[in-house]
Amino acid sequence: MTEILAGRLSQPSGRALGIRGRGGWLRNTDVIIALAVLALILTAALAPQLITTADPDAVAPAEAFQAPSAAHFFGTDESGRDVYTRVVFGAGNSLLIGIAATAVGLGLALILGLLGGLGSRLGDFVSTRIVEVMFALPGLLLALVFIAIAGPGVVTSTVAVGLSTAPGYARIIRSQLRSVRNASYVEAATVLGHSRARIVWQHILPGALSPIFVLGTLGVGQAIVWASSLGFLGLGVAPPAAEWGAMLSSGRTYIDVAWWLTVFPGLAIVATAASFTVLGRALNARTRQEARG
Amino acid sequence: MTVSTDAPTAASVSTPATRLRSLGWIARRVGGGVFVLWAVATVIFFALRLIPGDPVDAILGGPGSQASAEAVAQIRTDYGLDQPLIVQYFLAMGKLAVADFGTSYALKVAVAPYVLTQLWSTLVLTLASLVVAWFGALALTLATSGRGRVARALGSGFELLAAAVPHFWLASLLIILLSNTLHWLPPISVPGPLGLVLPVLTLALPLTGFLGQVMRESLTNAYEQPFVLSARARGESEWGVRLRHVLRHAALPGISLSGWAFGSLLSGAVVVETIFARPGLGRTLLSAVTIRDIPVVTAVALLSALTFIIVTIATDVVDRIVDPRVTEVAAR
Repeated sequence: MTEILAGRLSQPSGRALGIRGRGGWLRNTDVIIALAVLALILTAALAPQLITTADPDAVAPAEAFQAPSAAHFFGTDESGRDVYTRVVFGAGNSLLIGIAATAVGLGLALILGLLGGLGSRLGDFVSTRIVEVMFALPGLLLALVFIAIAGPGVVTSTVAVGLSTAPGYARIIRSQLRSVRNASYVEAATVLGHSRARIVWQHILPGALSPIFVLGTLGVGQAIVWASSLGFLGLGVAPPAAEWGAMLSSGRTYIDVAWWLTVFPGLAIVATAASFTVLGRALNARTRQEARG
Repeated sequence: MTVSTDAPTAASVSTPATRLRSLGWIARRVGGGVFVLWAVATVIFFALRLIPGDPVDAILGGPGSQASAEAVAQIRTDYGLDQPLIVQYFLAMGKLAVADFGTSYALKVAVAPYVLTQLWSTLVLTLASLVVAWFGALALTLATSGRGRVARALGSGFELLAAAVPHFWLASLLIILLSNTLHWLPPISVPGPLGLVLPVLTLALPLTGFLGQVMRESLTNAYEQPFVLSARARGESEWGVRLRHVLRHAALPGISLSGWAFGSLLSGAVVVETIFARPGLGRTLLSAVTIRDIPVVTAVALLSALTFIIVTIATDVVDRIVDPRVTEVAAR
């Protein structure tokens, strides 16, 4: 009994996040799978010809709506295009949109977070109110209004997704900055008489902003999911292009006759998003462990 | 004889002084909420004027309408669109302040009653999803956390995948599986409880994943707390420990996240209502933004902001009741 308790007590809390045992984070099966999936998707994005020899836009009306087979792993769509090839070629678009949207969201959040975490009382007041208002508007409403103003398209939907994720990041960055600002090593630097600029630059920012990379990794998956939702609503990438959300959108019309048009691009989204989450959490657990020493 | 319990209840800390503090806290929250509503109205007012095109087109039924110049001028005067922008802004805010949402450009009906009926439909959908996700996540984490490797892997694997699933894809899968193949449920949201099952499942499953991930983390931390050790030392059963001592800790992040969860459910409702052809705020919003029906968009934005504010305040209140430490820290 005591042994079990001791075992439970000595368990580092990072264990819940994916760190198991002393072997380090690369020993975990989930992280290995995630890295493998991401490597595959990255290859598909950078060099799709390595994974498929077909042309994603090659139309073959005679071969329309073929179920998955050895010739067409994921079947064919309404124009006889190979779905597997289109999923492979879609990786680049979807990945780029996800990463760019996260960058936009983090960038915007950084401005708001810095204003709130390091600015004057007024700056904090203003940025906190802005974040509150952005939170009160459902993310998709912000995105819809922005797309209505700027017109639908890849760039617009990317910025729209970034815009709707920004308030969440801003809140995390602000609280991170605030807690680091009150850390003892910052206090020590103040006592030593270092200038404010130097303290901020050398002590606060590195400590507070290192989690941003982790946040970004966790966010890319969700950004891909959101961007594909906009694509599905017909507000993202224009249909003929191979992008997972747009593929799902056009596949929905044939949901009764061709389930493979819906299942495979969606699986690609889920696999990518889940892999980014696993990787982000593993990185998070590692930084926390390093911080603990 | 007084019995001291290890967890003080909310009632035990409710003195006149704390009650007064609580009132002040609620007043501040309500004041903040009013400010947010005003800011939302302002942002929406100016953002919608940035959408290219003439609002008169929306009133006349799209740019294709061949209205005479006089008719256009007449409508411009009727709707006050000939006034300077700043005058229009103050007129609009004055009307919104007395809850006058005007007439829909496209539907030519009063916005307030129309949007309120849509709100009801969306509230049923989102609240049902929130409850399902909440209990789903709680049951999942309580059953699989702190167990063996396999249970833990199954539980967290499910949460991970569920959280990564896009609503619209899940909806399509459920339609393929439950309506097209098994013919159990209608593929569109028919009136009545049966039509609610697929939309609620679609919204609730990804949320279950998110809530489960957070609850699992705090549960695992809770197992390491001294009070769990002492409960075990007293010889309490495994489920006794889980339900009586650890549950509260799992519930906490779930409650604080509910405000955020509700906001994301409103976004998800746009997609789900579109797919299942279910009337509601989300679908109304999508079509209103597309045809630039300014009064409807404004009303939907304000209503969702209001609901969000109410839910956030409510979750904070529940948070304080479930976890008295919140109040103590705030008072310090």
